[in-house]
Amino acid sequence: MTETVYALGVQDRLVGDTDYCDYPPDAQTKTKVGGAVNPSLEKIASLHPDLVLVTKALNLPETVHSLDGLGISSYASDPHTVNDILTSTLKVADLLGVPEAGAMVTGEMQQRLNSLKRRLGSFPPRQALFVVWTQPLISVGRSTFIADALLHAGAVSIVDSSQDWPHVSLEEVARLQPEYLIFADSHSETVPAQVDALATLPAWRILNAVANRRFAVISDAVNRPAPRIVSAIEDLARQLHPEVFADKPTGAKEKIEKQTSPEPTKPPQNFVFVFPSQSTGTRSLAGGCACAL
Amino acid sequence: MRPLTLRRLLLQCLLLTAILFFVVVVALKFGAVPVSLYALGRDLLRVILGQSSQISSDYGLIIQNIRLPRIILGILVGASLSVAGTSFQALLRNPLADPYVLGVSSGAALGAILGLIAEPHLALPPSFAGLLIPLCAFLAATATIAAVYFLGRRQGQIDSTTLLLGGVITASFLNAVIMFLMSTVTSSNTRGMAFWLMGNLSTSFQKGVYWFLAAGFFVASAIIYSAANDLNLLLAGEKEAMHLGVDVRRVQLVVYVAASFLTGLAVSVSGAVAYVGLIVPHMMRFIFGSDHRTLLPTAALGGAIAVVIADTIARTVVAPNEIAVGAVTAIVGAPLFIYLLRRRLA
Repeated sequence: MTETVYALGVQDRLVGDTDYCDYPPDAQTKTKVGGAVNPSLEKIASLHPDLVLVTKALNLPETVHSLDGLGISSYASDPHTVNDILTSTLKVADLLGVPEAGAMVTGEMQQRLNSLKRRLGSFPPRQALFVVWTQPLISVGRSTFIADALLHAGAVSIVDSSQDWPHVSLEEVARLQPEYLIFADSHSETVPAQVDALATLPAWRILNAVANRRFAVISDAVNRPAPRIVSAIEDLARQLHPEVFADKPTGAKEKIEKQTSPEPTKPPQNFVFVFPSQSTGTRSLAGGCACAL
Repeated sequence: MRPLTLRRLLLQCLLLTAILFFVVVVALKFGAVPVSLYALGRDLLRVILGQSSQISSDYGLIIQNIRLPRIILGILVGASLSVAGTSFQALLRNPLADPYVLGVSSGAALGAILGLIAEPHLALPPSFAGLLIPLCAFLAATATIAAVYFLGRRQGQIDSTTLLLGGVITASFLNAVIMFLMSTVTSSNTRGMAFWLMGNLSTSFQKGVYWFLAAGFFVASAIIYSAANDLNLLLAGEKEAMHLGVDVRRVQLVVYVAASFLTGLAVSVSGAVAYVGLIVPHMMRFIFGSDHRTLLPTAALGGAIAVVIADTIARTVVAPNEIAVGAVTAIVGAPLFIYLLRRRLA
């Protein structure tokens, strides 16, 4: 949620966020209200937010009920697909009184996703296993936006579970033999060592993807329902379908994309101009908002 | 107490071994990937004959590399917990005692969690990376054992009431630290803690770990078994045992250390699998009597059977997904304990 606010360029009206809000780096300097599951209600109330943005995947309904009791309104997003993320970004932009910024951000996201879709069009999707945790093996279920993000990146999860975070049997994975393992990690440099370690274990060694070191590592932006997920999707598509991106001469436009996509450290420059001053605050909201991720 | 004959002991153990074998075959057959009994028998024969290289099918590899090691782990964990539970119940003369009552599992959990937090900051060689968590758990379990031992001494010797109280308080203190860490550490590795606390057998280890577990189990169990007679006398009371010529201090110390070691071994590879160490000793006592010379080996086999069955359920009931084996043992264990209790009262 914090990332969405930054992408919309209204971060100066963000009065607080959670311990987990670490992107962009500036988000770490905001007043922290605690964790996503157990934020301090006193801290939130003391910031006098007009609106609290929450996400159903992480925050508890109890938090929202308590905020209601304090007379603080909140908006909860509950995205299950990449498209839902676009919709909720538009909605948040609307609530914060910057619908133009929302249209712009989502327009660009949509355009990048469309261009990716055109490129991957004829190529069959890769069979992949998204690894949330290795021992025990936890993956993602079909109704998570992560599973949908994989589809956008030209991959299909071999796990088809109604649970969101299924504890998957390694036997089943060994039978289905995914072409790629996908790791999403903020410490991406540690993943190769992690796969090397798995390759020493009898149960993991028999996975061809482990034996042949066929894995992709993307930013943990894929775990967050924010505009940056598109960069993670593009990055994943490049790693899974190098042939698609290799045999086409790279145009200037694409080069720019490449530079910005792997974990950009600056907030997207395009949106800087949308900074609204406190006084221009518009119809729905003029003031601060505390964000729980 | 009926006089023990070697013949009766062997018969009892043979019966349980046969049941264990049957359970293992069933456990090998069922899983997320279906296997026919014929293919299973053929592959097993090849493994026994040392021709495992001839196992060509994918399913053979799945059985050999995933299912069989997991069943072996279940056997070792179940047997260790059950022997440890039997020992603690005798040592503390308390029917509610289980391997975790003295805080060993909480200590191990804290060690595992500290390992999980430290892991991303360490550059470990690949062959060692998988051992970090079990090792941290084991070291912390050992430290807990030592701390509880010093808390449990009165006038230089173990006092079972003080030991029990010291252990329970240590466990609750360590649990509080775990809760504190889980709600304050923001590392993504904290996700692993929840899985660890539930207890599961799906972790894969290098071959050496299984040998180490097996060796540790046999050595510690043999040490406890050598004190089986003394444990029988201890049931009557510490003073009475002393009058009958038992070196109570020595027996208490040896059994305490060996049983804690067994618990530490089991917990470090599987997390806390609940109820096995509490219920299985009671069931075996119910069936075979309370002579520790039969109770210890039958409890070991019974614990192995219980955990292999529970893990087979955990693997298959929601296949191709799994549930934690600790959840299965807890759901079955609590009602079973109540049943045994009512039965004894009636």
